[in-house]
Amino acid sequence: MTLWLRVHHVRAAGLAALVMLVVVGIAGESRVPAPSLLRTALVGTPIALVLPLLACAFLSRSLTAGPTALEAVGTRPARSYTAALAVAVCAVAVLVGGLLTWSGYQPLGFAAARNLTGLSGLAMLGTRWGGHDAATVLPTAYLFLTVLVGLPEGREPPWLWPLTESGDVPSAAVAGALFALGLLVCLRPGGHRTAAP
Amino acid sequence: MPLTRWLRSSAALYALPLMGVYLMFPLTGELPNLDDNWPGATVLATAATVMAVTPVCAAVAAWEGTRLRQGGVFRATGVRSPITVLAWSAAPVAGAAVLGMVTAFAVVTAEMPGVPGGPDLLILATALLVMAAWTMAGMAAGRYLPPAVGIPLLLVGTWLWFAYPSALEPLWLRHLTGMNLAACCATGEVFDRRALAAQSLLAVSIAVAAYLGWASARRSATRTGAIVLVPALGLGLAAFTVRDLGPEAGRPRAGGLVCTVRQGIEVCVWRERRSRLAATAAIVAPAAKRISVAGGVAMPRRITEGAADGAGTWNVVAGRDSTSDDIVFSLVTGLLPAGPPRCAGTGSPAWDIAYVPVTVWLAERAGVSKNVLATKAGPEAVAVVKGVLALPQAQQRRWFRHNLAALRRCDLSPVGIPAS
Repeated sequence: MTLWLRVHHVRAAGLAALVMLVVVGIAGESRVPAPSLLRTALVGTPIALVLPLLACAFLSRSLTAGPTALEAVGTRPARSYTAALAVAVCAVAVLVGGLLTWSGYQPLGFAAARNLTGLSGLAMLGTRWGGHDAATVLPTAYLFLTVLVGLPEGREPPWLWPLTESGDVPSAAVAGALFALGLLVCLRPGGHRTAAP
Repeated sequence: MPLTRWLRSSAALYALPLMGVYLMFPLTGELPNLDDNWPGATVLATAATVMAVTPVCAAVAAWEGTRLRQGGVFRATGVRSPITVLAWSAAPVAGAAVLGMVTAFAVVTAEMPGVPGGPDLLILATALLVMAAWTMAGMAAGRYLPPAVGIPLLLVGTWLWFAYPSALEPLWLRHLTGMNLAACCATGEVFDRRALAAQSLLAVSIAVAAYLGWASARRSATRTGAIVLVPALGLGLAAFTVRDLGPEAGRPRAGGLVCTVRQGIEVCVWRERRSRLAATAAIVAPAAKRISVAGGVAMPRRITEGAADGAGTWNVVAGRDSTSDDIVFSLVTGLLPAGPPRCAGTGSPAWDIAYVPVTVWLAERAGVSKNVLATKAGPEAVAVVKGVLALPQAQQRRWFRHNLAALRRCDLSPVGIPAS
């Protein structure tokens, strides 16, 4: 197990999630201007909604690291370990992010954890079709697409879930569903395709 | 390798549409604010390209760096020098960046018909240097990081680096990045070269450190020290260079005026507005006489778009879309104080009460139409001034001179103006 933890860079994934939560707690509501499809002015996106992509990148690397072929035929349930790692990191993030929001310390704490969960789900789906190296292409492209579109005034369509507030239930449901789909794919035999670029 | 296969294998080719779409948003969004001068156009084109294209270039370069690593380039015996290998791999990324820049300039050039001059080459060179530096950083990151981490790290990291400092203090921080959107330039401004020097310094230091990291993975104290110290030194020097700058990097333009004499007054506009010089002179010379008579102020010797002291030299703005009323209005506002006086503890109550009515009165006497004044200043201010205009000429002049003095001082209250 120790070897598995080391090979899968679990410490880096946990550290990345921790750093994300700390930065979100300190400065999560700071906004970064970005061009928008729907508005002429640059729209500020809270960094709490973008930083989870970096934590998701480190988590994806952990999930896809290691000798896939050997793990597939090994006696130990390596796919279950991988799924458990994803669940553990996202569950801790949701717990801490939820606490940040619930305590009123950082209103976007839960939204950040939700984004980590949803983007990780997308990364697991992306790994299935694009291979290990392209694991984060899908969540990166999706997040930047939503940032480019921007949240329309007064409406919060579910597909723009990475941009909504912590209390938006449909967004949390979409992120959760994506994560569950990703887990299903991850647990299926042959769920991780390795592909050299 | 055949050129077509070489191009087809590069991720830059597939990222080009994303760069193009992303580039168009900041570019077209800012076009309406573009003034009729080439430094401003250059800043807009380069800043939009840096903001939209550089993060994608850095992420694509990280992918290319990974390809070289996974292709065994660093393990194999070198036939070509590291710089040659790097050049072939980074060339499509650089090509995409240049294509983005050319597109941006094509868009802004269409907005510059008849404006003399051309792109500011120093601003352009700095922007290209910044883009090259982050592309190099992407290549270096690709050598060490897996693409699952490297691509989002470079994409989000560079995006934050370009966009986030404009929301941070100290204000000079934003001049280090190379993303100069809204930092400069109206036609009466030039880009402060200190900002360009700082951006170039930092970009060169990042590029050098990234090349050192990319070219060799040997662990030595000298190499590691250089990779850490070179960017730190670059950052320190760059910060020292821009430490006195505020939120904008524009400073007043020293030359470039063209002048004519009308009714004994020398009227000057920026050379970009040469074609509007005669019309501007025909508007401002009689307006200056009317202001002089109405307000009892001395006639100016010179009315200029450049530096003015408000006594012998008055300021005017004859912008690209300015109407004759706009030009006269600018002449009036140029005569009034630029900002409220610093009054300890009390604020500057006279400013809030008197500035708009005084402006409206002077503009009305200078010949600006009532409809334009109502649009610019609001119907309440026009109603206040209507009462003043009903007074005898000498009383109006006293009202104006007293309230003008109140705008400049902390111990004088305005007269003849309701408090709200």
